[in-house]
Amino acid sequence: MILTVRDLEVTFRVGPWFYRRPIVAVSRVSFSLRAGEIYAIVGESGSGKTTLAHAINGLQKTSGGEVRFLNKKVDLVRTHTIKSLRRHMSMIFQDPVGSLSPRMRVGDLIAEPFIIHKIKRDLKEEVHRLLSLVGLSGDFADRYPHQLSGGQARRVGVARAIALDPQLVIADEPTAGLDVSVQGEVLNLLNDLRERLGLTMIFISHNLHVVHHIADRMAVMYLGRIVETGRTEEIFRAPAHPYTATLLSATPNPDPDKVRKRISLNSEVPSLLNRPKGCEFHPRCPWVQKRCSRETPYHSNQGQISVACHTPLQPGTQPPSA
Amino acid sequence: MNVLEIQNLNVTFATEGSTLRALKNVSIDIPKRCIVGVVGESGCGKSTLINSILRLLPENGKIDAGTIKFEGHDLTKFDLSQMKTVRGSRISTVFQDPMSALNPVLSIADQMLHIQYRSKLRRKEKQEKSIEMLRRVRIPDPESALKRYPHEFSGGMKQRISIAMAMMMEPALLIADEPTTALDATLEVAIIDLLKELQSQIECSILFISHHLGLIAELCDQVIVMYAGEVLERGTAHQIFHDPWHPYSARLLECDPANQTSRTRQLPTIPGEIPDLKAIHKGCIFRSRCQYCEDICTTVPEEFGINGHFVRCHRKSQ
Repeated sequence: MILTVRDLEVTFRVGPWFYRRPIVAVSRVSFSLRAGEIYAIVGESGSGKTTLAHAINGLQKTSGGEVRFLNKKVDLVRTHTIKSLRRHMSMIFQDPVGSLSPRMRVGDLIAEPFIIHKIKRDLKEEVHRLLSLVGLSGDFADRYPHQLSGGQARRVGVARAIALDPQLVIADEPTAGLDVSVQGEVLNLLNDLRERLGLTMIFISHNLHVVHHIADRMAVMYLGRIVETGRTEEIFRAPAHPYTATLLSATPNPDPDKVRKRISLNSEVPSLLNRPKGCEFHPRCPWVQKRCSRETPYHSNQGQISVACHTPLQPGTQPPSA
Repeated sequence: MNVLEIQNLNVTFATEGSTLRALKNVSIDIPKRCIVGVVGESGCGKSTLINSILRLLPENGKIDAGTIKFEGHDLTKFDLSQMKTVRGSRISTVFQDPMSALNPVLSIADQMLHIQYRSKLRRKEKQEKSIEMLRRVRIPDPESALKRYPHEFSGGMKQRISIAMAMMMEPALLIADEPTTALDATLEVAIIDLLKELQSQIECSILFISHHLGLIAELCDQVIVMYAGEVLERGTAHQIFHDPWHPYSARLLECDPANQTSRTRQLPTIPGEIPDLKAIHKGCIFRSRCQYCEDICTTVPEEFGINGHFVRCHRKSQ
C-alpha cells in the first residue's frame, strides 16, 4: 500500500468568536491505494473532495484519524518530514492558469521542484525532457503563463507534478474549466503517463463521465463522507447507493431523442452546519425509510462494492414513484 | 415569425496594433416560442454574440456590419435610451454566475421590486407579483425569502431567483448564458426543467448558450454550432446530434466523454488550436484542424442547406 487513510476527519470552525461552530468537512474517511492505481473521488461541490486532497497532502490540519504515506505518518507539525514526503507526493491544482505563478516563465516553473528539494540536475535538460513528456515543444520554456491556453497551462501543471518522479499524484479537478476537445487531451496524457511512468493517482472530479474512462476504483462522497466505493465499472453497472444512482441519472445525455429515466431529488444539499441525523442523505433520498432518519448506516459490502446505506439498491432497481 | 433575426453580423475588437475579428457573417434566426442553443468552445464568440444583441460590448468592440432585428426593429440603429427600454423588459438575461448577478447588499425584495420600475403597478401589487414569481421557480416560503439577502441562499437557489427576475417582465426573448456552469449536476437538470416549464408558460423564446452538449440536446429545439466567430452549422437538435454535417460538429460530439459508453483509455480529441483571430484567414476557418481538408478549402464555403439544416463546408455543397 502506498497510501492508507484511516478515519480521517477535518473540522473547520466558522462564525464570529462569540458564536463559533464546528463544521465537519471530511468525516471518517478511510481508503487505501496500491501502486499504479488510479482512484477517483467524485462528489458535488461542498462534499469535501478538495479538503480531503489537502489533508492527504498535509496542506490542511486534520482533527482526527491518520494518513500514512509510504509507511510514514503525514504530520503537519513536523515541517521537515512533510517536505520530504511531498517530494514523493505532488499535486495538480484545480485552476490551470491560476496555479502557475504569473511572474515566472514556464521553464522556471518546471524547474522549481528541483530547486525546492535541492536536487542537482541539469535543469535545462530536465525542463526539455518534461516538456516533451507532456507534449509541449521546447520553446514553451520561455513563455509566461498568460501566453498559454487552458490546455497548455494544464500540461505545464502536469509537468511540474511529475517532475520529481513522485510515488503519488493528487489531481484536483484536472479537467474542470477546459473545453471538451481539450479535456480528452488531458485525460489521454494522464493515462499515457500512468502507463509510461507507472503513476499512482488520486483523481478528483465532479464529472462522472470523465471518471469512467480513467479510474480503476472510485469513491463517491456526500457531505464529507464516502457513501460508496468500489471498482469503477461495477459502480457504473449497478450503483448501490441511492445518491450514486441519482448522480448517474442526472448527467444529461447528448441525444435529443432518448427517453430519460431520471431520479429526481426532493430538496437541495443540506448545510454542513446543519447535518441531517441518521443517514445524511435521507432528506433527499427517494427510497427513504423510517430507520434512515435515526440510525447512521455503516459501510457494508455488496458484491465488490462497499456502501453506506441501510437498504442498498439491487441492480436494476427503479425509483419509487412519488 | 421570428423574434430575433441576425443577419451577417460582423463584430471586431480594436486591440493593440491590430483588429480582432470576433464575429464573422453570423446569421441566426430565433423563431417564436423556440429554444435555440448555441454550442461552441471557448473563444468561439458566444459571449460576443450576446453582448452585441444587448449592446454590452466593451468600448473597443464595434459592430462593423449586419443587422439585429428584434420584433421588427433593428437594434443596431437604436440609441442607448431605446436600448434600455428593451433590456430587462423585452429581452432579459440569466448570467453564468448567480453569485455576481445579484446585488449582495440589497434584499431580494428590493431587487425584485426595483426591476419592475417601468411597471405602473402599486408597490403592494409588485410585491405580490414577486412572491408569485418566486413561487413559480419553487423557492420554498417565498414571503420570507423576499426579506432575505443573496448570501443566505445556496447557488442553485440564487440561480432560481435570477431566473425569476429575468422572467418577471415576461420577455419575448430570454438569453441564458451558461446558466448552469456554476452548479452541480443534480441542480443542473433541475434548472433546465425549470427553464423549459417557464418558457412554455410565458411563451417566450430562449437563446441558450452552453458548452455542455448534453444540456443543449435536452433543452433545445434548434442548435447553432459556432467556431472561431463563425456559424458552421445550424439545424434542429435532431439533425445536429444525429447527423452532423460539419466535421467540427461531428468531432465535437465524439469528444464528449458522455458519448463514449464503453470505457476507453484513448479519448478522441480535436488536434490543433483555435486560429488566431487577429490574423487574416483565407477559406474555411476550420481548415487547419480538419481531417478532410482539401485544396478547395482555401476558398470560403458558401452556406448550403436543405430542410432547415445549414452548413458551411465544401464537402456538403459539392
